[in-house]
Amino acid sequence: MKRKLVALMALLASLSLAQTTDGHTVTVNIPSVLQLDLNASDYKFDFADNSLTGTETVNVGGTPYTKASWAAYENFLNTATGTQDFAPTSLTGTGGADYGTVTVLTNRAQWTVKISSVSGSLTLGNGRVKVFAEKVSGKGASWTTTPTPITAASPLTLFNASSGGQGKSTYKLYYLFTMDINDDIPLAGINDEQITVNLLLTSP
Amino acid sequence: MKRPLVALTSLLLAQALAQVNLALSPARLELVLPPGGEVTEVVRVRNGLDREEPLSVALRPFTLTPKGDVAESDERNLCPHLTVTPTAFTVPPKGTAEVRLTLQAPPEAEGTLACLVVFTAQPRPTTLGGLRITASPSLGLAVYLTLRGTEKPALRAKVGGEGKALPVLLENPGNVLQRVTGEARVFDGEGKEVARLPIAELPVFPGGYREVALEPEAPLPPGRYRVVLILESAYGRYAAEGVWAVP
Repeated sequence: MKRKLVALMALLASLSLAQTTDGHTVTVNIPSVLQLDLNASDYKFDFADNSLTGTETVNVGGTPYTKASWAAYENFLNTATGTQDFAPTSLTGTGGADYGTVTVLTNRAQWTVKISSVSGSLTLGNGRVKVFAEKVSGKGASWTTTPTPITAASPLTLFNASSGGQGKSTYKLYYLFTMDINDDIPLAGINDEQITVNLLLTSP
Repeated sequence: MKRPLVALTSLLLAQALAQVNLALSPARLELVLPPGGEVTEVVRVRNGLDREEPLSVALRPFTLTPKGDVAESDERNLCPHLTVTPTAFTVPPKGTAEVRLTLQAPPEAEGTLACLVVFTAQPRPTTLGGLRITASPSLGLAVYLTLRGTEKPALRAKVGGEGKALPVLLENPGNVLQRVTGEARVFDGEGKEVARLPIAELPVFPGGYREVALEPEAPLPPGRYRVVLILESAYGRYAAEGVWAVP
């Protein structure tokens, strides 16, 4: 009798289980994500460089800027009466491109890329360094309508999406260096100086 | 033989091209706790490159500017109540690291507090000579904590003005972060709806204001339009009405 009772209870339990599992459970897991990809690690302005002819230019926002080299600097000293912005002699990490590439990949509508701070200082002043962000594809917009000194604001917003920023967005990042004909360069010259620009991506 | 060589070359080129490839998940944290409460959250940092990525963590109090940008400010500082473990770590090649964030809600504070958790990669070694600019890339995790039972929500909206984009001003005189979603409905002189301009999860910092310009997908013909703004946040629904002059 006892065995029959146990068997009956087991049967009822299985029926009950069958009833409660009569359906599908759909589990959805979508993590929010914010990804930053940056290729250029080093923008170098070498006014002693002898490998360039002084005629090489980089197009930044529709304006050609001469690459820094000895030949270009000599030409500047010969002809300049004021200031001139120069493009880098070379870049590291860009595979030969004259600009860095920043890519933002996210499923968030709002994000911002900015220069949060600058570490180090140049003899001629960090205000001699200008930055320009140019949209290639994707979402958001650049905040730099013209090459802007990196000291113009702190922090300095480069580009952002205030709505609809989801997906992949790619921007070119240019830096220029301003030379002034009135600069009194020390006898030992200015060489081997470096600043670090801190780039910050956030989704507020 | 040629194909493996091409593949190897493109692999080496890809590695040479990327300085950093980092992803943060979740992209933001918004938490609610009673005063004195505690919670621990896990954040994942993924490294997309084939090499190790050493990262350091720093905490920075912040506010939101009228343009929605993050700016350093001690006004509603959550950082002293936030502990990150570890504060320096290495993400393996193509791997993920987990970071634990523990928040202890201060018993005396009210409303929403904020802290930016900044994950920073080290700049790569550079060449010598010349004047060099190197980049130190960072990802910022915005963390908001609202103290349950202390909320005093408020929102003032103003819509309308002149321009090709619709000016909207959102003021937050309350003490909590308002994240508003909704739309502006645009009607012509005959009362016919001619456009709907969406707003999605727009943050307005407590005590601050936010300016936005909503652009229609297709430009509207010059004229005067009546606009009804309908917004919703976790604290209620809000509406405003105005006139938009399109030049």
